[in-house]
Amino acid sequence: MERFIERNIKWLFPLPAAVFIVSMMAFPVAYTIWVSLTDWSMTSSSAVQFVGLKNYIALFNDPRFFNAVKLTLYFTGLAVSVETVLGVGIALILNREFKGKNFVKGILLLPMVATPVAIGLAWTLFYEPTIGLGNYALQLLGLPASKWLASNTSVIPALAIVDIWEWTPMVALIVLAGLAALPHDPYEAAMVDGANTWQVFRYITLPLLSPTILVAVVLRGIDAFKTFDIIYTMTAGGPGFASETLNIYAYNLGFGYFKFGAASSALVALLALVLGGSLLVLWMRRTWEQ
Amino acid sequence: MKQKKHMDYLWYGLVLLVAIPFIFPLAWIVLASFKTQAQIVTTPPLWVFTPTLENYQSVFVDQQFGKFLWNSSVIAVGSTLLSLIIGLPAAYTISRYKQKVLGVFILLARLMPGIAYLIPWFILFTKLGMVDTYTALIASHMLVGLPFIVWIMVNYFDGLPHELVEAAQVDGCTLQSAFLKIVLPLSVPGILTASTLSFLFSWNNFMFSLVLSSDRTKTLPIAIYNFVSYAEVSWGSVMAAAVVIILPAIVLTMAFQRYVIKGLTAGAVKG
Amino acid sequence: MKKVVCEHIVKRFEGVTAVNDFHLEIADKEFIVIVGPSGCGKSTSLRMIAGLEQQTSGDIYIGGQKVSDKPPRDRNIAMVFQNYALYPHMNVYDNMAFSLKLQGVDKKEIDRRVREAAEILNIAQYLERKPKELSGGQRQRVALGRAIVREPAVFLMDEPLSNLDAKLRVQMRTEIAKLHHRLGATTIYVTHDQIEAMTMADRIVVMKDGVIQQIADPQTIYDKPANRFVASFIGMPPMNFIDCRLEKREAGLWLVRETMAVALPAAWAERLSQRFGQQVVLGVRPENIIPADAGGPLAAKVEVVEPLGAETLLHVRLDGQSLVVKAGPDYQPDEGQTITLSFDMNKAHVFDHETGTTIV
Repeated sequence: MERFIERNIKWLFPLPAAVFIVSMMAFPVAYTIWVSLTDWSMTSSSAVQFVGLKNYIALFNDPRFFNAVKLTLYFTGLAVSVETVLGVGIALILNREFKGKNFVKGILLLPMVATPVAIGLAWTLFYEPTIGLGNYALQLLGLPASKWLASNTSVIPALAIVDIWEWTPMVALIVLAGLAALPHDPYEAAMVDGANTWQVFRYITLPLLSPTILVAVVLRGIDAFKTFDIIYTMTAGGPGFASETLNIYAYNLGFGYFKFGAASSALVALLALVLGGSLLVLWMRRTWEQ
Repeated sequence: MKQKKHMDYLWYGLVLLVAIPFIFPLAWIVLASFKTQAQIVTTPPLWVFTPTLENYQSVFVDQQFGKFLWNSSVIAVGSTLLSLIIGLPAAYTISRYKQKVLGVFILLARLMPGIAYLIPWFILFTKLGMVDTYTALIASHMLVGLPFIVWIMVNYFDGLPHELVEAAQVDGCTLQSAFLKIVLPLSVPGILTASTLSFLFSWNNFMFSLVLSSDRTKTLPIAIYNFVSYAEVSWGSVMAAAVVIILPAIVLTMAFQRYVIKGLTAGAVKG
Repeated sequence: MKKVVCEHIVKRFEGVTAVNDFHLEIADKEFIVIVGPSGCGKSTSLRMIAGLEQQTSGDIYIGGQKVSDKPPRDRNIAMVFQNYALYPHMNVYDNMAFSLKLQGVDKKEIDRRVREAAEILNIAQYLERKPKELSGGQRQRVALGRAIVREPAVFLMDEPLSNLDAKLRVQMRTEIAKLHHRLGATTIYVTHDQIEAMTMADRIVVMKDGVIQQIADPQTIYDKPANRFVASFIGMPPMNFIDCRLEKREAGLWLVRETMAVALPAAWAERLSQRFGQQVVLGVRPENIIPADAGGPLAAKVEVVEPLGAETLLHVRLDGQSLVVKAGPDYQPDEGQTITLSFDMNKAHVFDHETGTTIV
């Protein structure tokens, strides 16, 4: 027995994990693709019928779908670009030894680990037009009040602010780790060459750090694209469809209207976007490294 | 010399400016959880007030948060432990035998949007009569925890000298007993990193529980979400509930801060 | 009976032959050193004997028992690794006791053996420490200790000294040799360092490109290398090689270059008879070239003089060829000076120009 395990350890060790992943991930994904080709709906009592690409045709004719794609990209782009700039800035500020550094790092961790649903609800209160802190702060600054989540134009930026609050620290911590791993020699060489602080940053730090920043941006981009908890709890896609990102759109189709067939086609589209995007980034990184 | 001192003060001011926005909303949640509804809706906001425990009482007594706390704990601990049990051996052979295909598969699981599995899971678990069971919830949460654990541990095992396992083999171990007696004890930091994060992911998970749990297995995020579906939101209770959910996550994070940072930034920095 | 026999072992990795026809019989209590440049297959051979690699074909016997398909734990071996491979989470005592515990040896006996080994190796005072609190030399001793408590049939050592600094390496070399005398255990020792091979081995196995070049005792390896590779690998500074043409003249056999001509001993005539007029390679060790200010037949120009204290190394140019000459400490000519050389032909070798095999 012992000998059998030892000889086949290569296959026996990963077997449970592989079986689990196949049954809980690969099979469901295949199943979703199949469902997307049917008219499966919980609200209809007739038998499930194979309808070919009908759901996809409907999907590509649905303005809500394109709205969702647009909003997802808008939300992701806005949140990730601000997070990157702020995150790099914060990392540069914290990149030196000082008393209480670990404490500050600890504070940075909190938004990331705090339960998103709870955070979403708290921010809903902050954004409350009459009693919220948001408008109170604007008032103190002498700015006009905002409708925050209640207006078509401000809802995505308001949601992005929450994402930025949650995830800027992640960019900062990744960049901070990257800064700690930078070699010393180029700095010494630059100092000998008489570079000033800005030049050192522009010509030494930034180029050496850019692979790390890129990884942070990619990781954040993938996660922001998939954001569900915050948006669902704060607006559920509203007002109207003004914050209905792809995730929310698919969820609403599936578990709001129980149109599994239609929802599945939206999910397949979402999958294609996420995987396509990831592959593109991987490919870009590889060609860039060469 | 004096100017340097001034620069230092300026810099500490900058650090404060960085830290405050991140801590402030959390502090406000804690503050609000001790206010009455009337105190919360007052503008300008009240900074000084007589704290009340009313909200916590409502959360634990009226809303039975004790039960949800238990559910969340069972599911988070269960999914983390099971993910470790099947994930650690897999990570080991992926690292040792360079099982690339499996590795990529696991990475894919990490990239996939979780919502992609929801419909089949819902259909499947409904047919099996497993909706609203710990089994279904633990299995679904494992799909987040397992890829993460494998990912972290493959990196960790890559860094262990392989000679140690060979020494153990010569000393009389089988490969599997070398894994248990040598590899695992040496991987405690990695395992702590991976399991802390896996626990947090499960603890905070909303989407899977939203679809797969109901009265019996409702977790904390679902319970607090249900608050706002009432006609009038009792903000005080929401804030108290938020504190109840967030506090364990924060305590855990503080206790394992070093590991949490490692886990969240893992793989981003090479070398 | 602690013999080790490797029967025509072959190891292929994905079509590349790493070890080819490795055939070696090791006597009980023998100290064998396998030596060669990196990538020659010496470590792979050792790892196959240990059971850490599976040979593609061939058989291995330890103590008369066939162990070809057995896992390392059933081969009654102990191994010392290049990076020590001490278990970082165990203290020195537990590191040494680990294998005995696995065998189920009783506690008292474990304690006796560990303490005895610690005594022998002078590490008794470190038993409670973790490996990371020890110096490189101490870790090396613990690794040796872990091997000797086993009382195995065979010790396998994979470049055990290569991580130590030069001084410590010399010291540990002596200690391992002493340990071998004391325990009398069969030992197979892999190294890339020819000095370790020469000083420690009962017999040396020289490998190159996965093939054994020669198996012999150190003196034979040095005096009668099987081919040009062995001749160049063993000995420091290495043997000089001079491309020449073999000519038969009235006055006997001569090796000839443009201006150089060296007479060969008459006794060699028979073995060289097939090669008259052919290109061959003359090999002479630095200490077998005798320099003199004048009077010898071969004129050479001194390029660099390296006084080493006990001796002097001269880098000279003879007929367009660079040679190294080992001279006495007092002989220190000026750089640029022309000196004359004579070769001690009784200790010289002639190799085949193409294959490198020794002709004489």
